[in-house]
Amino acid sequence: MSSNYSDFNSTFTEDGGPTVETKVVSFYTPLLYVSILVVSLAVFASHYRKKTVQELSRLPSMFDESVARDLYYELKQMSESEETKVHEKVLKAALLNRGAEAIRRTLKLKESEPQVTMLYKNGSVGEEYWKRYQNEVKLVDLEFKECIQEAEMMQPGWPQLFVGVCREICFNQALKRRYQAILLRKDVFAVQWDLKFDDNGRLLE
Amino acid sequence: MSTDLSELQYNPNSKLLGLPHSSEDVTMNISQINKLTQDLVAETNANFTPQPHAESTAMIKKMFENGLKQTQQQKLADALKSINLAIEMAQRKRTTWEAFAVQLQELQFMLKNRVDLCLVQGRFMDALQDLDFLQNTGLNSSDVFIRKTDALIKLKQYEQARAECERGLSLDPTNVKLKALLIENTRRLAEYNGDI
Repeated sequence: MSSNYSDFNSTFTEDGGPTVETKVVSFYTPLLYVSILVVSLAVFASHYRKKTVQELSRLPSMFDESVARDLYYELKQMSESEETKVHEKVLKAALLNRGAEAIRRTLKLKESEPQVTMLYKNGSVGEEYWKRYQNEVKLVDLEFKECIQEAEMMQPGWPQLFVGVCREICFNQALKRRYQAILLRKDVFAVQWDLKFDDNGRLLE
Repeated sequence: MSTDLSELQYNPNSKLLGLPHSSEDVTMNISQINKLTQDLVAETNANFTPQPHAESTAMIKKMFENGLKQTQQQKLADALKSINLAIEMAQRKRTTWEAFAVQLQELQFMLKNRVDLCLVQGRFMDALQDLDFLQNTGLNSSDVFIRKTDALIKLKQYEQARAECERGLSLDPTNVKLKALLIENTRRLAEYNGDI
């Protein structure tokens, strides 16, 4: 057998040819590479997300501070502290008020959506304003979801009714605020137009 | 930055909240919660719905009909009082979660009657505020513009009266009353400016 080597292709049998060294690599090496890659990606993603959240949290809100939410948490804290036992219905009322405020904000954002989008597309408002708007939409959505969760904790099965009730409360509160402004407006106009009225509300010449 | 509510007071007997020296926004929210609490205390059903309470509806209707009856009897001052009472009752008795559509319609209907009574009795400023409310809540019929123009003319606010009249005419160009009011207002404005 050894004398007939020339009959075959001798690529693998020539003594002087380069020899390929095969290194023994552990089975865990590729796994290690992959895990390093995944961990570094995860670290980057986490860092990036934190940075984005920080940037977003620095953006000024489009609304004033939510007094309805603060009042609810203040009452909840009071009831948990055991110093003052807050009645369940008061907490429920505060939660309904908070839900109504969240709906009011959602509606305001929805109302202004076409105008804001148009202004952004025309270049009349900058990237920051657009981000503020989108951020606000997400925050308001989150706020309403939190309200629903609280409602579920307070009274299991209530959220189905809670949403509808909050909607009506939101509209009725707006109606009441507008109605109550009538008295104030009368005084403002009387001063502005320099008019005087008698006790029966009749104009004094 | 959250609102400072550290001095929030809670009365366990009345179940009402209070916060002295608070901002307008906080005061408004506290009064809203207090109204909701009172409504909830009176409500026996834990799973309440926006369905209007028949009892409140009947009481308000009775009071309002009493006002209409007094109007027919030409007791206008008493009629105005009754209608004011009916409106106040609707504000107090109706729970905040009762159907908005019903509450709005009811309030608009009562205010329309109050406007007429106010105009007849010369209470033009009161009428004007109610008319503003009606317009802001989506009632833009020519009747509202006629009354508003009339009230503004009586209050000698001719420039505003012209604006309202023209606004009404843009929605209803063939309205004879509005056209007449516009002519009358133009004459009075010229007189006021010393042109006549």
